[in-house]
Amino acid sequence: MRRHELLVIDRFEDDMAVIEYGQRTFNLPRSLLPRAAKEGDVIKLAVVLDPEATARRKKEVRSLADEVFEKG
Amino acid sequence: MMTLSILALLVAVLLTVNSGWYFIRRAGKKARRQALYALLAFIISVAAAAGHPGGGPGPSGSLQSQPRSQAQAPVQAPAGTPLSRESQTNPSPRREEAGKLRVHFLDVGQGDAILVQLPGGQNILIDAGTNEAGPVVVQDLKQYAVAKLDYVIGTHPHEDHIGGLDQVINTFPVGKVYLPRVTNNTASYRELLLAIKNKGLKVTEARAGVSIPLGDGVQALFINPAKKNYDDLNDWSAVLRLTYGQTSFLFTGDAGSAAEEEMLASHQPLRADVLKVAHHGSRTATGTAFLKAVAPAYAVISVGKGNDYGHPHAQTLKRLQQAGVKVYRTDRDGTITAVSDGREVIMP
Repeated sequence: MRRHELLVIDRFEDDMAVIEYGQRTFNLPRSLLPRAAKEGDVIKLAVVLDPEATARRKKEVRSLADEVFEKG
Repeated sequence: MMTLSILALLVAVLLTVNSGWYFIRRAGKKARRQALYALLAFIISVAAAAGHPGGGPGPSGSLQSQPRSQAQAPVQAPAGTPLSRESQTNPSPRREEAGKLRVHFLDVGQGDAILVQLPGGQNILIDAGTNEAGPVVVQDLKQYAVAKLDYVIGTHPHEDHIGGLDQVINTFPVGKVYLPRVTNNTASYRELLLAIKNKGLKVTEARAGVSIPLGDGVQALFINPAKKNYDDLNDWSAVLRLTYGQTSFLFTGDAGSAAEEEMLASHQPLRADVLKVAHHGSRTATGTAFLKAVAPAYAVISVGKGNDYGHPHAQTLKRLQQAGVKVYRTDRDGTITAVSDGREVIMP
């Protein structure tokens, strides 16, 4: 896959946006897109890691696991 | 002249014996071709022996036989539907004589691709599935002995309809291309336009009132898009009504409720024996009023197994059921072939 392939909104199917990326398409929930997004719009995706939320979730799951597992 | 006739007779006998042997072993393509050559050689030899004016019947005979052999090919081929998809029960292996129109709703997963084979051997392709399905469509067309696509229709510029079209256009000789006058910014659509351009073809606009000159007693008329603008690309769908004798088909692309209202308001005939259900059976198409006007006996939904969009929608299936329509689905039935003799439509 070439790096400079555009991400284009091909269409909407109910609450899903179908995004074309090179030769393939994938779905994004419409709620993740700006309200103004429409068919044919080229989008940019910026994926940012969230270390704080990761730490919070990890803590939550671990304490739940501690409750649920038999005490060894 | 005498030498020629003896020589031709000799060749005829040789080829007849040879092809006879092949026929016994298996009635393959090669054997059929050999039989044709043998017949040709025989005709030439008889003509030569009869002492007709030199060159008369010989060449004209050979000129006539060749197109005939080509015309027969697509008629015989559908018996060999793609092997992996023979889940549907074909009607009894009837003799596939001429005078029949065949409509193959190809199983391309989530998307549309429909091959119409006319009684005279012409081929129409309506959509070609996604990019991913492109090779499947090409393969299927070969299975149905398509040598040329006389007419190619891209209903609207969504990837699940035109994604595979560039591959098809790059593979087969193409007569005319019909598209609605609307664009999309996807690579898929751009590649379609480039494939058309690189082949030196021009696009004919598909819009309400445009008919395709088919002959063979087959009429094809676009009844959508009727307006100059729609909010949704789906409503731009080129909708084709095809009639053969007393039978009719309606191919709706992804036309939604806005397009359905336009079509109803236009008072064009909508009635059809077979309805290609719009937009993979989505909730926002195939409204009660539209369904009443089309009044189909059969409906075909082109849809992918376990798709992410909830197609076909339960409400749409219910509307079809309440209208007493027999529903076929490519996700369950695989490729579906409808055959019309001009009097009635036979479904699998």
